[in-house]
Amino acid sequence: MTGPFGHPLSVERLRKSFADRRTSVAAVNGVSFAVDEGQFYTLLGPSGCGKTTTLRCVAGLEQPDAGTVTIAGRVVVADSPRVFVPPHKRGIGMVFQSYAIWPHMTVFENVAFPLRVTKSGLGRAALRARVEEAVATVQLSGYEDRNATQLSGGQQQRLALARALVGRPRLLLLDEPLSNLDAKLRDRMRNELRDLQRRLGITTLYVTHDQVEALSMSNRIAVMHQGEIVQESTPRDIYLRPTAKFVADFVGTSNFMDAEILGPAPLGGWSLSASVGVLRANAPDGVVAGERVIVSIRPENIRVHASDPGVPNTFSGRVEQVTFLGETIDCRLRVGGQLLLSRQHPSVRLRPDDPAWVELPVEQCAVITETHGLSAASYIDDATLATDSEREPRP
Amino acid sequence: MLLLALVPTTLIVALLVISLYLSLRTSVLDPALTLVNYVSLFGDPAAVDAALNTAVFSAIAVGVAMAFGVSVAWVVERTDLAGKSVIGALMTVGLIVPGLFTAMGWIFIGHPRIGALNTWARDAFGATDPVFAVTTVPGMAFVQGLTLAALVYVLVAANLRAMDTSLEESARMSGAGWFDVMRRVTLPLAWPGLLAAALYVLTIAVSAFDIPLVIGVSNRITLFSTYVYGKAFPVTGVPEYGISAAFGAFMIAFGILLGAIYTRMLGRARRYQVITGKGYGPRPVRLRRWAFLAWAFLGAYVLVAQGLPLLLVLFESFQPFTGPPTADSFRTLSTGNYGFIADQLGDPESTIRRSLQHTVVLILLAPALALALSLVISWVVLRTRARFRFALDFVAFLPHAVPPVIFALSASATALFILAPLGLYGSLALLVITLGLSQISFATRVTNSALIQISTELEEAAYVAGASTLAVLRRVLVPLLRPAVAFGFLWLALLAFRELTMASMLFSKDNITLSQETWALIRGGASTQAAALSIVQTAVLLPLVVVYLRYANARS
Repeated sequence: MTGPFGHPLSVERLRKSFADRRTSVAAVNGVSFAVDEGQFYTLLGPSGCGKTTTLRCVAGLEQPDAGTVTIAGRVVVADSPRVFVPPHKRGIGMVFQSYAIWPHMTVFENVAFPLRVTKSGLGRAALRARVEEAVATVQLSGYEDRNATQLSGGQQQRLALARALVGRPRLLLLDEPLSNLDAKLRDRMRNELRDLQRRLGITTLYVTHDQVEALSMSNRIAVMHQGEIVQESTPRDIYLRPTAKFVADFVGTSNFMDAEILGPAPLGGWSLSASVGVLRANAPDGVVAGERVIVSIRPENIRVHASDPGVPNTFSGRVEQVTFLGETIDCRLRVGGQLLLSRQHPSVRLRPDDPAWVELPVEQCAVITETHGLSAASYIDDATLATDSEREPRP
Repeated sequence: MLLLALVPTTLIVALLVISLYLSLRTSVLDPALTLVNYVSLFGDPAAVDAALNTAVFSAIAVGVAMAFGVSVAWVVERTDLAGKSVIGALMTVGLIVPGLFTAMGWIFIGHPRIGALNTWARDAFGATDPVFAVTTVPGMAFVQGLTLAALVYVLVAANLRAMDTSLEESARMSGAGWFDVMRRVTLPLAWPGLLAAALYVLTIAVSAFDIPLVIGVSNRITLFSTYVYGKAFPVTGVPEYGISAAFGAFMIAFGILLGAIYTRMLGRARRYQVITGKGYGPRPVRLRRWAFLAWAFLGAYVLVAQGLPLLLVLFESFQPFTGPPTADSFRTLSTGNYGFIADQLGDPESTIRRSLQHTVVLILLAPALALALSLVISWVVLRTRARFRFALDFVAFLPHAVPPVIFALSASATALFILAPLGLYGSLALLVITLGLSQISFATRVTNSALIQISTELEEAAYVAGASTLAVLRRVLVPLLRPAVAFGFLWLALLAFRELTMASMLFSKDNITLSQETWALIRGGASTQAAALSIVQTAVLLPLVVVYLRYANARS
């Protein structure tokens, strides 16, 4: 869904290199994506993958080498004719990793700053009302006259958010805003931030290396690796149906098996010859018999049975090692020459050297064809996996 | 901003190039470039003499400075001596005391004929030879060393403070005794820092001006700086720039070499440092009954380096004529010199009145200029990805490596020959600009470290919030930098107040400063009036120093 001026944010073929001694390193290498109105869009990837550089190019804090950036229908970066709108004229809100709270100003002055410098034309009373509204939105009312440095980490984070929202921007940029908080607070702020974003319906571009943040908050996720987007999809798709080995590996933990496509299976999907034996799985469109692929399956999706359950994709194996982790137990299984990590509920009784029937449920096996790794969301739509609530933001 | 940063750095480089150019010219009229000056430099016995004197002078001065400075730093930073913060404050004051003042004090103490020490020895013990003759190269070097000890103290104390004490503690835990820890851990760790401090003061010692001028010139001892000064302001004949500039070329090369080694040493010293902000100081060495010895040492140093010169200058300022303090001289005490100064200050046309006005302008404008330019340079160096930013940082450091006397010589020649139509020669503006440029090397250290402490995101947040570059500067950067810049300003103003080298090299009646006027009085034989003027200056300076020390305490 797009607004009256097209996408609130679209980025096309963005490139940015940095000089490193005598060579040049491409931090962002041809990144394209579009964010719909009201969407929470996340760039997810390890450090150095180019996600922050992409965000900074959108903000105008970096000048890209090539590409086009359009914010709310207005071209802010373009190649020909060369356009570069400086950050202060882009009308965006941004929360920085360090929050960047100005220590020489009070809470009120920090929030009022965007209104003052943009010559918003608000009178004294109107300005105060706007600031108080923003402060109330993040539940900091009553702290207006505090010195900004007297706030706790969580409060500073809210203040940074209020400051980003006070100018009512069309686009909100968040650069790893939760990474400086301790674990408990991070969980709380994660929910708060998501609820606030959904309530205000503000289009948001979020950068993080934390898969839990990305999966729990986003409408859409673009996983980045070495300056490129390797998969772009809904959180559920990213997790359950990775199209690239990197995505399966980076997001959560995965078992990988080399396999070869044998042909269409009689009951739907495809038949594959893998190291554990012949198995059935759904594969992306366009695969052909004889193609070498990778089958990925999450540890928590592997089922272990004491006797043959008589379902497809079940293989006879042996328990090799059991590690008790409290909430779960990790169990290393051997099926033929293949080692598989499985995660089980602690109530499951497993001992090393126990024989085991290992079930790899058909719908949980993701087939990765590295050549298809770059095309996003190319699976046959599965109504149980991609629910509407993820695709369509609430109004 | 980029262009703005290029202005001062281009000027600094231009001044160096011009001094090199001067060394290749024999006269204003002859445009040919020649190496004649370099040849005559080696053929000039006075120049060779000055070079040798400078070498001996620098070696002794650095030795004395290190011996006192390091000992005091160790006592203050690493022992449990009570009341040592007073010493820290006194050492800081020692940095600002004008070299002219100390030199004058030491003439009163150690002059072979009229010095108090020598006349007392003569009267009391019938000594025929002077006990201590300050009018020798080692004598001057000793005095220079005492003043540089304060600087060594500041550099080494900072180094000792930042050293990772867990390295020493783990050595102790491994079973090493106090002495072994010192020999095997503390000293090897402190070594690069100590060497860096020695190199830093050596750079200053080789181009020292105040003490060689006041003590040396009247006694026909010439050092590098006073040689250049003598050539630029000859008693007879026309000023000669060529040979001085040739001498200067060697000193610049030497200074840059020292600067390069210094930077390496500093980098090595920093590797052993930790900035954790944790409150764990090193466990101080317990002095117990050695405490009195430490106090005796510190007391002796303060007395010799600051107390005695001050007392004698104070005493002489109440005398009509220079002479050692004797029973007779106590009967001739009078406030005549102070009356003279008061009269002069009341007369708008007097030199003292004008030199006061010039000094006020100088100490306000030169540091302001230096800091404003340094802010721009630091900003470009630290906040942009301009390709030449490291070159900028290096150029900003140059005025420290280049002898001030050469810097001023070049500025003077530039004003005289190249920018003649601007009428800068001999003007106060030229003095302000030259001193301001030379202060950039210190000022950029202040602005660099201040800017490093301000997270880039604070500025970026302001840009994204809709502030223009100017608004970011005005509303975010300047307010955040204000404390550090104010601190730097105060310090540079104090240094400008005591500055004599550039004031002498660029001297004219239109830009005479208080230190220059004091020197003029000494040279004219009115030493006691000069003493009184120095005391008045010190009295004016004192409140500023107190403000500075308060500031320094509040910041640490």
